[in-house]
Amino acid sequence: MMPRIRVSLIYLYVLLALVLLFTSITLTGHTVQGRQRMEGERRIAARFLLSDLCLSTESRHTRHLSQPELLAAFQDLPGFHDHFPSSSFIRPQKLNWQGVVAQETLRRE
Amino acid sequence: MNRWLNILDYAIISLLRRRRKQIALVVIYTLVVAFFASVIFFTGALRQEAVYVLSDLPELWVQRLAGGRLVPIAQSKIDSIAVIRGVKRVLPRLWGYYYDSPSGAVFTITGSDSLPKGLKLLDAAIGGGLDSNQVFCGSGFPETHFTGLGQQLGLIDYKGCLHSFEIVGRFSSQSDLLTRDLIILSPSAARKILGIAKNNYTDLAVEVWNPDEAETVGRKIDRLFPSVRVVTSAQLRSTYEALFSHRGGIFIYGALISLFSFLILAWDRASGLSREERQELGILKGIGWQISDVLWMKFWEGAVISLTSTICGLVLAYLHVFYLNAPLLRPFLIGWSVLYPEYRLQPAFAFSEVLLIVMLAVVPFIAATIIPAWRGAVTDPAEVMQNG
Repeated sequence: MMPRIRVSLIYLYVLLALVLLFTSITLTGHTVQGRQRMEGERRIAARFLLSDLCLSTESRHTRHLSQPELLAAFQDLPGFHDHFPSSSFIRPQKLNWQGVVAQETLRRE
Repeated sequence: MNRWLNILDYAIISLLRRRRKQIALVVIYTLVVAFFASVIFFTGALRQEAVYVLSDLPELWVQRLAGGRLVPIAQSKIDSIAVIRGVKRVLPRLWGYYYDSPSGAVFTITGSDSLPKGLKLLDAAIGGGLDSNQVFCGSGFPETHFTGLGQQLGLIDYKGCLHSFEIVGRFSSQSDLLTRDLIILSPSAARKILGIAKNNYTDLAVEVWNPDEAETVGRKIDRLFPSVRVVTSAQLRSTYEALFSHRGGIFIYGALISLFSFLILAWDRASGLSREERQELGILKGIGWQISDVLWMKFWEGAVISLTSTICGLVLAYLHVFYLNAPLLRPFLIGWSVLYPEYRLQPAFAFSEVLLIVMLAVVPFIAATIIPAWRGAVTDPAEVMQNG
């Protein structure tokens, strides 16, 4: 007599295969080329003193997130943003001593 | 063990009886999880990239303000800052923006006179410093102007005069995330194009001997020169760490809302057992199933659907972000940019992120299936079979 095929076992094997597939793609995803590229970028940034990633070029404050430009609205601190689509991704930081200083500088001037 | 497998067998067969509905549910569930997981993977990889690439920068950035605007900083400030105790080196920067009317793109111009040796991401025709008529550029300018190494690049200075430069180096498109819009000129040429006078610089990068003292040195500079603003590298890093963080970012909100709205729908659907399902529970109890067996059966039904969808969603999200380069997410970030980088992200795998996705996707769904089943299971089987 043929042994009964258990659907539960088939399902558990399929689930295990999916878990193994996900684990293998995450473990093999880190490539040597990727690491070398990041290392190369790190050297370029340090050599040419590039303070920001080129994520977006639509406005000054999203091109250079860490270099606030006081002329633009709300640009008091790194990470402050204006009304551009890419701005929606950026959470402004809390005001700290630099921000306080920047405001005082403005008042003095 | 056999008992569990029997209950799981029954749960799967029960799901297969309503296969069309269940397949539709698994497909939608998978897509929702895939979107949410894509956002988590994409933002995690970008954060990893920023933190690593920007890890070797000087600790302080000093900028001069006048009338609320950034203005060039004089050479004399460099000399004054260099003698502050704790300061190792002051590195002046010459940089600014250049609007290129033929392409409509905005480029970043940087002044630098020499090349780092052995840079794999730069294809350079020269080995030493840049002459005043030579230029290195990212992949943006050659692509928008259909030029390449050895060809000419024209830039108009702030007085309106056209200057021609020979492209002697081009950054590989692999470094687009950093250099896409970059144009590197010799310091004298950069001054000419940006309109910065001799002995003036855009801003200063300050290296300190002890990074732990960076904030103290920063305060000192700030007190000594009332018109300057000091940005610390900690602030710079936290800007990128905050970028796309779980609390910030429309993507995260959008993805969470879609996940929760799906779960609410699933809850709504599952919370009212259909007449057929109630009768099934009644029959099962009538033939001797215990309440705990019925609950386990419902638990496995929910687990089969949610685990299958979540794992399929995770695989889809990973392929979407790291193999297909996130075609559904990147356009949001590009916004109105004319020039945008074609980057391939290095996967950043964090177990906590996967755990978060699994917890958010699996637990509420299983809860949504078990609670109504419990209500159905505790009612009298005879009553359920008679009344439905």
